[in-house]
Amino acid sequence: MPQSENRLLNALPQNVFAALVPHLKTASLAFGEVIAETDQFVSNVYFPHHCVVSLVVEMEVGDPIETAMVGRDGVANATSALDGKIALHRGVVQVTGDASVISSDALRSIANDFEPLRSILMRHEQVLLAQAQQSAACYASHTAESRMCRWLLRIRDLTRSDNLKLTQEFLAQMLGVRRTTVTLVGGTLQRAGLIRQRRGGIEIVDAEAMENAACECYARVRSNYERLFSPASD
Amino acid sequence: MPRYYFHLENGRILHDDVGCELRDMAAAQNEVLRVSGELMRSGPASIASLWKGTSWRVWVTDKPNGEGKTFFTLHFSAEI
Repeated sequence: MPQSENRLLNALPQNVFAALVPHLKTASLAFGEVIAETDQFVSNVYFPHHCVVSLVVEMEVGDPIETAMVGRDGVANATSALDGKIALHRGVVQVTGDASVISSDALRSIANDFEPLRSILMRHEQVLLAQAQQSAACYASHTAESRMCRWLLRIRDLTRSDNLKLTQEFLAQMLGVRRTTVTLVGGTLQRAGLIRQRRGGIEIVDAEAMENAACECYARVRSNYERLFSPASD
Repeated sequence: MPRYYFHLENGRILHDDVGCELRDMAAAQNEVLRVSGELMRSGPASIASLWKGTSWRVWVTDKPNGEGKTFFTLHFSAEI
């Protein structure tokens, strides 16, 4: 049996994980819950099991736009344990599910004692930054179709389900396009047999065709995350 | 605020059944330009028909599924 449903926690040596266990609590995070508010103190760190958290930037005018997504292969708010105690973005739960939660103070103290934990948290921050950079480039140059495929495949990986519970409004915010565009582009992808749209959700019908239609950012971000868990990087 | 529904014909018809609440007609015109722009660069599955000579139409109504009164229509076509 794995140590944890979260892949970062699962990748830790047994003694490090054992030091964390007394401080870890399992919490259920609900859609829409805010776990980090821009410019506010962060007191908890979340290691998602099945939930997915979006890191978004809010604009004075217009909808918030997603810059990165954190799920079971990542951790949200971990910079607070590395002394970045103020959140520089907003963290919103976009798929309901469980996460292991630990206070920033406890995580910081254990990270000071155990190098492998410090190391994976640092490397994760690097991957997160790379993801945000990829998203900026993706937003500027990739099409709504390919970005929608990229985004849906990533959610599928993180939730391990073909049935994605998300609304078109939410998807539009995440992609930085109008809700109407999501409806019309989604309609095109449905006609092409890639997805099925229903009330409150989208079903992935042909994941292989979606991988072909997705922009390069999907594979790039995925391989950056895989690198966190590959022995060569240790 | 009135609700506007945006529909697309690009060889096939895609109806909007959700709509957007917008302040007024000017806001709806602004919205249709933005959506049209996003659709124009939305990718091969969406755009293929335009370059094969099919004219596109994006139109805005006051009822879902392309019904009701049409406020305005934008036409796009490519001559090669």
